[in-house]
Amino acid sequence: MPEMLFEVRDLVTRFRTEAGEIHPSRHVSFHLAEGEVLGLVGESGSGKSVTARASVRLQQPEGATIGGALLFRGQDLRKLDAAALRALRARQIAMVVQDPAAALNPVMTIGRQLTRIHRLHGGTEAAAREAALGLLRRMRIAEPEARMAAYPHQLSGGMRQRVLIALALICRPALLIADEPTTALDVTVEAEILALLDELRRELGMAMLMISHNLSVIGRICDRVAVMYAGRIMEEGPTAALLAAPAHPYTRALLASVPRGSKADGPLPAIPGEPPDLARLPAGCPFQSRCPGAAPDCTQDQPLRPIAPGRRAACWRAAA
Amino acid sequence: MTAPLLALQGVSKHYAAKPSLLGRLLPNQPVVRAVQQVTLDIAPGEILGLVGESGSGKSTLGRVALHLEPPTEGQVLFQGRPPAEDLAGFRRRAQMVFQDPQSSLNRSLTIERILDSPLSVHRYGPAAARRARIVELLELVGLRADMMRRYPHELSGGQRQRVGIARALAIEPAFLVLDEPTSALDVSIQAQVVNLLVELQQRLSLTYLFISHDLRLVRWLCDRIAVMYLGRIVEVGPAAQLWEAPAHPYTRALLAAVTAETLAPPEAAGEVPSPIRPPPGCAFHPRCPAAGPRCAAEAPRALAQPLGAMVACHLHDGGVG
Repeated sequence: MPEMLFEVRDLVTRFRTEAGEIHPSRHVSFHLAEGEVLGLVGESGSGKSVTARASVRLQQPEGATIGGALLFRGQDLRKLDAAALRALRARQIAMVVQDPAAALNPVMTIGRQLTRIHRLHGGTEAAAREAALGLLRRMRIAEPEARMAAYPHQLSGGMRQRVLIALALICRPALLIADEPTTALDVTVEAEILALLDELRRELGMAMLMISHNLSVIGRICDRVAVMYAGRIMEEGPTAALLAAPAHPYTRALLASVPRGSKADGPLPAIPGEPPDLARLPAGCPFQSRCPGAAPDCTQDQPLRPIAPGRRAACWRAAA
Repeated sequence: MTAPLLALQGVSKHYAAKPSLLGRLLPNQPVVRAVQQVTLDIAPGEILGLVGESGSGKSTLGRVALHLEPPTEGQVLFQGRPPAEDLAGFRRRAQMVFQDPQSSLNRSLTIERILDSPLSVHRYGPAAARRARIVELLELVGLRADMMRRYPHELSGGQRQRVGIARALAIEPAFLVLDEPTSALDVSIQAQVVNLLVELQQRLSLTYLFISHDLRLVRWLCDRIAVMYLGRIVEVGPAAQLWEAPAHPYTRALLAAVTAETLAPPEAAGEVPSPIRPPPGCAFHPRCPAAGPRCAAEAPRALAQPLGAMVACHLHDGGVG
């Protein structure tokens, strides 16, 4: 059994909006073993990004996190002071976001951005340059010396995402938070970046929390997956088993709505209605108004409960 | 074979690339070849899918098809006639649905005003008739009539796209260009909108040019698929045939990426080159696993295949050697 790296217990976040108070994460719990890849999948507004960012205290404002324990190798991130948190994040936790154009410094060359981080960690200029070049090569970036002198806007989207991943991995973190890292990319480029990310992750023994709305991406790269809806984890389990036999009605409906075959086979099984307004959630299961199997007892809270080894679901009737 | 509703004949669209200060002083300014010599027919009642990645020129081709941009060369024929001959008539018959209803709907107008606008412009009738039409349109796209008093920001993404579709249908067109109409939507909402598009197409005998980067969705929805790469159509075929047996290496790479269940390395290496300096010969050759010397030297011809299919690849035209 690999050792526990990161455990989030009962995370609650809160924002005040014009429409009222909303809770993008409502008692969310998940864990990652060393070297493990967990996917956090959900549609827009499910709370997956806020949950991931808040889990490593990157969500602004920080006061949005109002409950929960964030245990990184047993140490609660919520109890660290700013300096200790910064030190831990600098060495152990890195993040890759969807839009590398926004995450890279537009007025600094790629080389400077890469060597700067290495230098911050106390390396010499020459060693930093060697390490940066090595990483660019590992990311299969052609002509790495020339790329070092380039500015982010001179690179394609796929190139920028490779640089961003190189930046994230330069300190060999134990945990990478990857928030829709390939969503802005074309599918033929996406496949290559995913394969690279997985290769480097294995090499570094790094754990990864992968946030995505794309079930195909999750299916390819994650060991386990947690499905979020309206701030809650609805279902969790090993990726292959969960995708092959989803237990929660929401997961089943989500998977069914992906186009397969052709329109000659009949209409796509769409999920009726819309996701609920987070400011006006019903009591109990947030999926009840769209669920084909909804019953009177769905207005009561349904905690995640074990349904099979390694699998949990938040539905009275869920069965694996 | 019925006469095509819309015919693109040797259509190209070139733009001047945004020149640098120095570039403006020099001759031979760089040109973006967004669309290169595209010939394509769309039959009445057909749903033709146009698939490509970013920079393929698929959106530009959609705009040229609607005469929102005049082609640099070649011609567009709608029911056998150039749109410019009767532009007002063409605009009544051919309409567009945009990707992002958030930005394509005027946020300061109510849904009623948004839907009234095409009706007023095309002189649909007096106010009462227009209002009745608006109610009818909302019902047609599955929205309640009281939605007409709302503003776009009060609607969900799926509802806004239904309004975008209603607006395009307001003056009873025969032909719609739909440019990534569901790519801003979640997959569960996408399914609702796509089902609606099928229902409308059958009920109103519409013809669609459906532009998307999503090969899986296009395969589900469309009768035929045209695949675009760097401004050119590289393959056309009946949807099932193209999905089951893609003929062009680029289509194969796209299909492999879409259907991948493992982290296998992709069939197409590297990234899409710039349309300002497309590679010589076949534009796909630097990424193509099957490329040979001929591919770098000579642009492949568009080879007609049975069943209205086409492929532009030397593999199917004497080899790559």
